[in-house]
Amino acid sequence: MATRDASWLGFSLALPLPTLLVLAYLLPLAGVLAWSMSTPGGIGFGNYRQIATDPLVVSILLRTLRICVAVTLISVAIAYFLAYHLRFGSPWKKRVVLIGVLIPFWLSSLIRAFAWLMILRANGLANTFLQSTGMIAEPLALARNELGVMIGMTHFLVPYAVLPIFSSLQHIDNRLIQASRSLGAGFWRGFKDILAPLSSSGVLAATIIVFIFSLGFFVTPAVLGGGRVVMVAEYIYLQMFQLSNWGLGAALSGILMVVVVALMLALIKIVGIRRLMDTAS
Amino acid sequence: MEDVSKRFGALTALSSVNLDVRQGEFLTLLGPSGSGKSTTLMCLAGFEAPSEGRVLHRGEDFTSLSPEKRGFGVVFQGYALFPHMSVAENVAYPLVVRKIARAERERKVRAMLSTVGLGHYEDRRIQSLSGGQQQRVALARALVFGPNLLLLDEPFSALDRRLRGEMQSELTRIHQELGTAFVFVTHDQDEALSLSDRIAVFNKGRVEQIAEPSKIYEEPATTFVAEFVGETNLLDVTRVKAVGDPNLYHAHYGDTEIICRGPQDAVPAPDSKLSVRPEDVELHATLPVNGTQLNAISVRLLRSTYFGASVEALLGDQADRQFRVRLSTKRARNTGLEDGRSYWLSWPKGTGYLVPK
Repeated sequence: MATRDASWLGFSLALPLPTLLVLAYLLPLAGVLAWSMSTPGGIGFGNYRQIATDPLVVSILLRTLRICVAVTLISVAIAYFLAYHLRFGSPWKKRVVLIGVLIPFWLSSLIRAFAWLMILRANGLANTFLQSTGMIAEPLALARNELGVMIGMTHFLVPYAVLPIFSSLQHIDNRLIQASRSLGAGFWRGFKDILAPLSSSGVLAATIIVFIFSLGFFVTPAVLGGGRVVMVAEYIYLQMFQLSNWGLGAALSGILMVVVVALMLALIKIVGIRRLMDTAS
Repeated sequence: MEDVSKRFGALTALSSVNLDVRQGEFLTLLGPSGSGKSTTLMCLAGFEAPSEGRVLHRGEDFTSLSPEKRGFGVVFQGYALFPHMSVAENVAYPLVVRKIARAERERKVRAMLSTVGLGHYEDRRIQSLSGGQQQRVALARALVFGPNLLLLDEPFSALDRRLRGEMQSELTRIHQELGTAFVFVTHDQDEALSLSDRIAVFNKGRVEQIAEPSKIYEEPATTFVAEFVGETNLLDVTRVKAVGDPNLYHAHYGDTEIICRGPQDAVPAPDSKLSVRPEDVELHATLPVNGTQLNAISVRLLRSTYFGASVEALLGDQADRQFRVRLSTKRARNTGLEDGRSYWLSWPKGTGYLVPK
């Protein structure tokens, strides 16, 4: 009797979290998915059919994919470079990289987007500087286009990619690098044969994390794209809150979520949930 | 190595180290941790750049040559095997980097693996090997490309005692078989004495003495060497003078007259240290009868420690100076050890060595 009491007590103590998740998350989510099948008009796959066929929606999805893939590749490449120096650099270099990686974490994405706008716009810092030095005659189109969006997103995402890559580099014994060199491999050869394969899981984790993040970007494209570079998150917002086209917005949300969940599962399978938690902490 | 110094910030790791590795020899760098032996090895390998001095290889200046261009084999502490490659891939790696054709590569890998006693382990994963086997793979990998110098950084420190002994004799065998010069770093004096052609004893970034093991043990150049290699009793002796025979000296320990050995080339200072090894000393219940061949001192037993085959006795004389004596257990039983009792301590005239510094 006593044990049954104890297990019942344990169960009831654990109850608040699942309850909260069901009430605040799963139920509304089910509601959203129900909209995607029911509005406007009767029950059916109309919204999903529209996503697959409407040239505007398809072009937005393709643009989102294009920007996210490019930003992910660039971010991971930059992050590898930074993580490498964070792991193998001199103490001074490590400090500089660490500060550079951590500071952006403390700034909101809105502030960062506006800061980039100040730098990149036609009469912004970058263009005024380049014009005053005479390197260019006309201002470069750095903002209010895909380039601006990609710069802003990359800046946001690089720190998230640095951590998993750094973690995987941290697990590599420095003596393995020394061993490869003593056996005759120069820097690039050792990088290709030893460092790259041993850090590949970190790179893969970083790629998936950054790609998932990039899919949901809303503020950065809105600010730096100036309304011209609409990505899927902003388009969902427009459907839901500006056009009250809840069905289409809900269907797009559902698709986005399926993609993200699939990627998350792939990530967990590749890296393992324990490693992932290690990386996060 | 010529006058090599190395500083890390304010810390001097090496000061003016001169070291000459001879063709095909087994040279051991011996010293306590932080004495500079590993730093010396890293300077030879090219992973540390000397702050001063030069590293020469057959007349060529190697000081600023990168490790991959030196072509020396290195066996690291902890082996540093590539975990994502099989045994054969690890051993083949230096050959792949050197673009050696596949057929020859495979032949060399097989030959080297059988030399180190891992004939049928080609396809095994590194993680499935025992410590001793990993050690053999590391050796094979460092030797397969035919380096004329192999550097070993405390390779046996992770192995248990029995395996260590086995690997030591394996290493001697491989050294003799290949004729490659080995430079071996260790803090284990027994390992150094039993393996080496020559030993360089390091202390505080300096080389205290380089010589054959027997010379290091029997004729230590400094008190540090005398105390670090093996156990010893260091006696303060006075009125040291030569007695005609180039090896023998006359000295006083307190009021007792002593005949001992000393350096041939230079007469030690009148006040010197005399190193007497515990195994040279005998303990007697009464004054030994053949006293003319012995140096003898009257002492009291402070305590004795049992080691199985031998017993170590700690003794003190009237002036409260202490001695360590190692007796066979049988001998100790015959003498009868009793704390607080008086004994005579003796060692043959002409044993014991006057340490110059």
